[in-house]
Amino acid sequence: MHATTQSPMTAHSLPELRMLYAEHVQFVARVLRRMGVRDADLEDGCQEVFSSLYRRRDSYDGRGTVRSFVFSFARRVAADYRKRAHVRRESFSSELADPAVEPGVDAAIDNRRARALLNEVLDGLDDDRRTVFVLFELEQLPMTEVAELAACPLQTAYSRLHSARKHVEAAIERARKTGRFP
Amino acid sequence: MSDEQRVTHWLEADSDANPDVRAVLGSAKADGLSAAQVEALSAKVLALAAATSTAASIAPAASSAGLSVASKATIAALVIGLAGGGLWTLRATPDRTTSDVGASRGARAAPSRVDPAPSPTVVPIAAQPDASAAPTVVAARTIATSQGGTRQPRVSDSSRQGPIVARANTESPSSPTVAAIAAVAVDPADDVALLHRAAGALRSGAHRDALALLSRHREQFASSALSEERERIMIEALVRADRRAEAEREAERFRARFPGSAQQRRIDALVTQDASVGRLLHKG
Repeated sequence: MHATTQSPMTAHSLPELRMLYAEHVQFVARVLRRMGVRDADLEDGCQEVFSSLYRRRDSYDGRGTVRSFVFSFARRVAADYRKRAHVRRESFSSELADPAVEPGVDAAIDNRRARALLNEVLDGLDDDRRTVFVLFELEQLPMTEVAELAACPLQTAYSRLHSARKHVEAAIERARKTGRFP
Repeated sequence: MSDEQRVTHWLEADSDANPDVRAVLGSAKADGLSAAQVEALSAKVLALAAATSTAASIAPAASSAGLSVASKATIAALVIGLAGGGLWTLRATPDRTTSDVGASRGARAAPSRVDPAPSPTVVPIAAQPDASAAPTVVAARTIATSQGGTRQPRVSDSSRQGPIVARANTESPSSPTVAAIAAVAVDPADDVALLHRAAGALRSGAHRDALALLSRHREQFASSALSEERERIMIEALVRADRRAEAEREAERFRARFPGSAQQRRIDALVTQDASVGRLLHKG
């Protein structure tokens, strides 16, 4: 539909960069954050996604949705980030266990504790299960789209979700029992 | 009944997920970028694309001016590097082109992430009346000089209008990559703990201690994800310490630094209400 010659970004029906950015930047930011990129690195991560996407715009073949194309870059950037970040993994274990941190001081900080726990729980998932869990439970996408974005069969996506849910429930229960949450 | 109908998202109202799980998942609702971040980033992203296109058009011009192939590569690298000065670490990929490699070098050669490299002027998406219009690039061609040397283009950087992202305490001017930044990053647990101590001091009426702890937090965790909370607590501490003029100045600074912040309403109420109480007390 956008396959015109007016822009280098329009080959293979891919919208112009500005349109891609406007439509998907928040999706990209959320995905990066939930796939392990720290808040402080989020802008840089988004920039990396869109610059990579722009460099490889010709690889879009129009067969999948634009969102799945965009997601593939976000997923790869997040995966690379985690590999680079293995020595500085955003671990809030000590924060959550710190006796100096009193619950209920401030709603924003309490929310930050929950968010830190979520990050820790998600870090315990492998990339495949994390991807399905993030897309289904946090992005709340329908499972058919989750399967498309995760590039796996529908039943595999369900299987990964089931496994991820068990992991998440168990991890949160452990945090609750040890007084780290709420 | 299909699988799609059988599985309910845990965050949906009729989900049977336990409350703890829902609370933890719900904490991610605020994930994403602020409006100011989106706008500032749009300028950088579009500048990168514009500069990439412009770099391609510079090469023939440079050739006609008698520049070497190496010079042309340098020009392309500079154009792209300047536009993507804050770019994340670029990695070698199998499909990388010559200009991509140049972009990587250019990004690493950018002077500092503390003071971001200027970007060519690109009207951010939010401020662009016609979304289909091509971005406006200023001065990309001015990089090449008749002697084949290079100089900084005179550009305006619309991204500077965004909120201050103070990273001075965790970044070395000579090491612009995220990996390098991470090497000197402080423990985020200390970040939260210090803020809790400050909040505790404030609650117990130890305003001076609270302010000292908050100042320390500012110095050690300038780029903290809790910066907005810290500034709000700081303003509250100043108000409680009856340093109203400073509180108002900090409130103004906060407004400029974090436009659209969720803390703004609380800060406004804090300064305004307390000013009213203060006036009543002074009258009494």
